[in-house]
Amino acid sequence: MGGVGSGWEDGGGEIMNSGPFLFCGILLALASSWWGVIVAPRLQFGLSSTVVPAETGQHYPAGRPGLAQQGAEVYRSEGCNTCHSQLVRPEGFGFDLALGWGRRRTVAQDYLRDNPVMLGSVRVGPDLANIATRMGFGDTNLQPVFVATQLKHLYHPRAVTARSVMPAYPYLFEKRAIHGRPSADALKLEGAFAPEAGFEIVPKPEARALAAYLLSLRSSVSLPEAPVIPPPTNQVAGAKTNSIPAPAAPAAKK
Amino acid sequence: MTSPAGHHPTCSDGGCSTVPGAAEIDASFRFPALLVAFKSAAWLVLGALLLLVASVKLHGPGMLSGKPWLTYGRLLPAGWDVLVYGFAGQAAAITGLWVLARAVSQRLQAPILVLAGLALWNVGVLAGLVGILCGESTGREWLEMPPGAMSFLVFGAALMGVSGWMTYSARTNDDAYPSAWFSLLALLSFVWFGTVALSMLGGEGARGVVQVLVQRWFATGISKLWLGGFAIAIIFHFLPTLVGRPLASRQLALVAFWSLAFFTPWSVTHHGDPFPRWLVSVGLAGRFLASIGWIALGMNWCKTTEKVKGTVSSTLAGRMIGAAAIALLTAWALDLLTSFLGMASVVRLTWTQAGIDWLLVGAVILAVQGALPELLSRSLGRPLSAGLLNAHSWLTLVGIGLASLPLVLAGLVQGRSLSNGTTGFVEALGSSMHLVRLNSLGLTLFFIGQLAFVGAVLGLARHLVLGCVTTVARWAASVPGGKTAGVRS
Amino acid sequence: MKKARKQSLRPVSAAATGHVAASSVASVSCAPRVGNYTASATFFVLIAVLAYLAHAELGYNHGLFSEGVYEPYADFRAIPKAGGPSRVDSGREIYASAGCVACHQPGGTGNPANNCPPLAKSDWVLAEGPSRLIRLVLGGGQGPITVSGKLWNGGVMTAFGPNLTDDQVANVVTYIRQAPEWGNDASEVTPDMVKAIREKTASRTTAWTPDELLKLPVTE
Repeated sequence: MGGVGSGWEDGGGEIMNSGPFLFCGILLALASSWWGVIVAPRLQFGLSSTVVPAETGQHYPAGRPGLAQQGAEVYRSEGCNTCHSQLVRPEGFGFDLALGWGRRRTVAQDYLRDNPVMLGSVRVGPDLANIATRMGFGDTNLQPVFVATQLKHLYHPRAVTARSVMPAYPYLFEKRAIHGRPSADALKLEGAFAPEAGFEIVPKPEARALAAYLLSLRSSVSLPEAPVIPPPTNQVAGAKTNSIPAPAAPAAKK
Repeated sequence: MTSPAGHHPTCSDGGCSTVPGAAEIDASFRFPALLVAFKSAAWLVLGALLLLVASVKLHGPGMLSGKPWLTYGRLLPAGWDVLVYGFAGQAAAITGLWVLARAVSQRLQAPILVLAGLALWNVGVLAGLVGILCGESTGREWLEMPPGAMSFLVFGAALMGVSGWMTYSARTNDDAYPSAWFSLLALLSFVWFGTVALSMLGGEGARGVVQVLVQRWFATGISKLWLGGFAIAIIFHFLPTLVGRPLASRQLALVAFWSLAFFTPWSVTHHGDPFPRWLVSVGLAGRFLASIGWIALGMNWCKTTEKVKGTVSSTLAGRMIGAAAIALLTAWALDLLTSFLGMASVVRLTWTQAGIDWLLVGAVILAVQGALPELLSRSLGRPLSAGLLNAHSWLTLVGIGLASLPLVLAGLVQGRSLSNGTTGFVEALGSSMHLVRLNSLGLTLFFIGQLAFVGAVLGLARHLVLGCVTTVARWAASVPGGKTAGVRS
Repeated sequence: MKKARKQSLRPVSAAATGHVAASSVASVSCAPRVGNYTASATFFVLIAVLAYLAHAELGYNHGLFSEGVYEPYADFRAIPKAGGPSRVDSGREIYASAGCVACHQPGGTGNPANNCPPLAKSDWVLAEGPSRLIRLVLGGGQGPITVSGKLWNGGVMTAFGPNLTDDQVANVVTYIRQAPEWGNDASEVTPDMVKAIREKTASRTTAWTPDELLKLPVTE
């Protein structure tokens, strides 16, 4: 065994003692992966631009409105990505679609305008790639409801989900005394979560921005590389059980 | 075979050999080792404490929620970065340089560069910690520190790297021992990965998911080649020393070195990630090819300690180094195993990922904490408290084991209950929380263990003032000629 | 395979004894020695296996090295065209625009006033196969027909073959077989099935009678 040249036989004795060789070799090794997994992908799809899917006829991904963009900064600053991922895996590659976390997998196009892109690596909380569409609040009329729910959840997660392990973010809210009528945007809190009488909890701009950002998280438009597959109710498999016997067989007619 | 390069200028009298002895090499690490001992000990306790608090907050999410800097999303990255960069990184760098110097039989060259590098490094870690706690995290894992802080680290690493290369170039023995290669790889890695990541993520260099590729490539390189490279170098140095045998094979070390250096940073993608199919495939192929290196390491180490593994585990340093080798190889095996589709679709994006990260960093901590007391006691000529170190070693071993392996299992439990399609997310998470509690227990033990370690290091401080005076006097005396200080006989 | 050198020439250093006291060993060599163990054949077999795995992985899952191919699809052809409207949706439009709706009604209920039988829950429509249905749409129909046990007499169905493409016929027949709003749920019809029947019946110029159709199999 062995004997593929002098370098191999003596365990790289001569050549591995050469500083310049070692330096260049290491650099070449490290540069190869840089080229392979960063430079090549960057040239291939890192410079792509928005697309216009037929479904909506609008540029995708759209830029975030100013408030939502500020919310992305809050998301980053509070380290939300420590516990929340923003990626949906395809059918058969995990349980993401089964849990209703998206209508399709997410692809590079979805993250084109994000900076930083916060994919996340551990899900201590649910995935947020589609939090807006998923909760049915893509509908404009329901957006205020969505924002109100999210704000309440941020103020005290267990006021919305009893067994949540998410930290509360009271410092994104302001507790102030009610003078005259309560503010329109005060949180509607009940029971143990409500402040003492005469006080109300009002979101600070950071909390509003974060809710606006969550409202902007939707990656469910059908793309050529990731089509939205309709639920398989009308497929051939269903037909076998749902077809009914063909009318009057010829034998009966004869 | 090769003539000794780098004749030491101070060795002018006839009694002095141009080839420094082991004790002389150890003594050349006196100041850097001392600096690292105290700085890294402080980061160690702080990092372990932050991680412990973060972990406890998982079980009582309402706890300490009033202050922004105490929120889980800031504490966890802050604690992790302090432990990785503040402690493991700089302690690994100094012990890595030490085994490098031993491997080429040469004193540490230009120690002033190492001291300057360490100073920059510590400023960077401090700035990074403050930045993350104040909400200036970049939102990129392993790169959370603000770019300004990170660049201090890169400059610091570059200075240490220069010293390392100078030491290597001044080799006095025939062949550099393999641990030198791995230390050099590690020294160069940080500068390379750090520079590229900072420059590509700083401007418009990377858009969209290419940012994720850069971040993952950085994290892979930093964890497996920088931290891992130092750990491998330390293990290469200690295993043969501990059993009093030669290293089994230089060829296997050579194969391991090049396959790890070439292929490890390719493995940045997993099944289901939002990258085109070919990139996922390339990531898997990279894992397969890098596995050649890990298997070569495993075979080499097993063969070296064949039939005498008891000798390794019977000593204090051996217990840590041996466990480090096992943990390192286990981390590799788990990473490979969980990258196959069947496993990846269950455990990816669950606790398992965190568990494997813990195992890898834990391996590095074990290796470093096995080697650092040796370096300290040899270079400073002071024994560390064996009792404290003994307690520390057991607490750290059990602590790291409990901090990592239950998380790997917790991810499996979480992923399996989600995969059956009927369990909701909150219920699935709840079913894994009892295992996550073990992680908190592990972190508690780890934290107590680190207090013992710091106690042992602080034991040195009692003699510090006197020791410093003596040391400086001896060092000054050695400058004109004669025996270099630190050769204790 | 050579054995590893068993005896070390080097004394066990202080590190090996576990004492962390300052070393008093003045060893000549500062680094461990290296033995001459040569890797076993097993190792080279392992290398070969791993290299093969890497090669196979890239060979099977390269996705054409394209930026447009994502898991789980192997290439462009494998990606379904779900971006456009589904067959049912297109068929619904044809049903309305081509004139079907005039007799069969929006609800597929049929219309007794002009002897037009229902489509919703119809045994003709929901048969295991669409062969008879495709012929009716292509060539038209006349004569008494028993639908789900009820006799309809005197109705005439227009031939749509000349006006609709295979694709459109497939869409509209799929729609009436699958229309969720009618509660129909039978198998899909593809343009290929329509094409085959159109070719087979190209010479026919008269409308089909139900008796004729009943002698034909429902699937072919």
